[in-house]
Amino acid sequence: MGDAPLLTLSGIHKVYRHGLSTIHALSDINMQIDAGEMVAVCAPSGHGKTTLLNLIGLLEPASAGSLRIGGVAAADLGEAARRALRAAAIGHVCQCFTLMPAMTAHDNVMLPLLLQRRLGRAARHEAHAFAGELLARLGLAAHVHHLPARLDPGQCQRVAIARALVTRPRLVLADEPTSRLDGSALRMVLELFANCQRVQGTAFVISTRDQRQLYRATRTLQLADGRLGPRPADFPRHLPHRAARPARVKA
Amino acid sequence: MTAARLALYTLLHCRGEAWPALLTVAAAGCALRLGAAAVPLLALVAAAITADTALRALARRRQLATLRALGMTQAGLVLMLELEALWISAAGSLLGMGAAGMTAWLSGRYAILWRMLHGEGALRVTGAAFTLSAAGTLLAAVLGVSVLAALVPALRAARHDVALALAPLPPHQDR
Repeated sequence: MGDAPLLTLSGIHKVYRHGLSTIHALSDINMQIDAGEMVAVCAPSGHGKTTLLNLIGLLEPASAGSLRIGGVAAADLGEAARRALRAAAIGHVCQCFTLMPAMTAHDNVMLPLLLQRRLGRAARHEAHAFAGELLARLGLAAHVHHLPARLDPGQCQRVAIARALVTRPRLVLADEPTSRLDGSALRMVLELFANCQRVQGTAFVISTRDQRQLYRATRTLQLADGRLGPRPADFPRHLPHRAARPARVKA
Repeated sequence: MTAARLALYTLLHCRGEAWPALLTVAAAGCALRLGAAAVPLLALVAAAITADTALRALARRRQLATLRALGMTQAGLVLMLELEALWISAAGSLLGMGAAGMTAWLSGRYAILWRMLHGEGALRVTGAAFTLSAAGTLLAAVLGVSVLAALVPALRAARHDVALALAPLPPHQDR
């Protein structure tokens, strides 16, 4: 793989056809993301954010253009290879963050590992510990054995975030990952993201409208009517980094 | 292994959605055990399992899509739904055969009491003896029909568009 960018999109188009009508969800998307970057994609609702993340996450194919992950062209892959690449390299936090209602928070976090490969005893033990650590870092240590029905939406969203990170993916796609989070939970999530960037070199593509999250992004892109452009002109270039502020003392 | 575990978890926490199918299979199993005609009752079992699998797959389309997005194969998803159907059928059959055994036992007791009051021959309880092999045959028939009945809805559920199922819903529909 060498110095190949982690993700390359060239001339991506996505067209949906419903009967006689044609919807151009994405038009001529070109972008390149390197390891350790955090790219924020901001757009009003219905302008193609989720479609873009689904394409990058290999959940649906592009109508035209080329998508390469780690130098591998997605179009050349069969269904099984796409699933394997997605499982190995991509963590996806969907906007609906669906959890399995019959499984505890901890088991939900472990689910990608259980589905993807057979774990030996040592690996299973290590994965259990890592899942517990992720939940603890997201402030859910006391809820590890709770079913989703006993968690509030913000806690469910944090479980879904932990589930996306448990495989230590190289690329994390997050669709409005902090929409249900309050201040302290948001801070924990952003700190965990920053730690993954720093330690594992994980790249993030985040669709968001949350200004607090945009401050952390290394790049901010604007998606409008399915076309990707640079950050909006009214978005300030240099903003105070929220992490640099002294943490508030808890009562 | 994961599919079996997920299927069992789902059924143990299904909050009653599986009860109609389970009770239908139990009633059919009870009637079969007592010697009723097999073909219509097995057709009833097939209809109940097909409807149950289809409806519960529809109600859980986001969960199933999430499993696919997390790495579950289509075959794994079909296996999970088949196992759910199998467990419902097995539980229903055992429940039904148990109920039928209890009915036969009670009717035997009732016959003894009747004879004591009204004399020999006043009431005749008939019916072939229900052996272990007969129970096994009945169970195998019900499970076989259930596997076949769940196959089509399970295949349809496995082919759903993952991205479409995971699309955000309008706020009034979002649960």
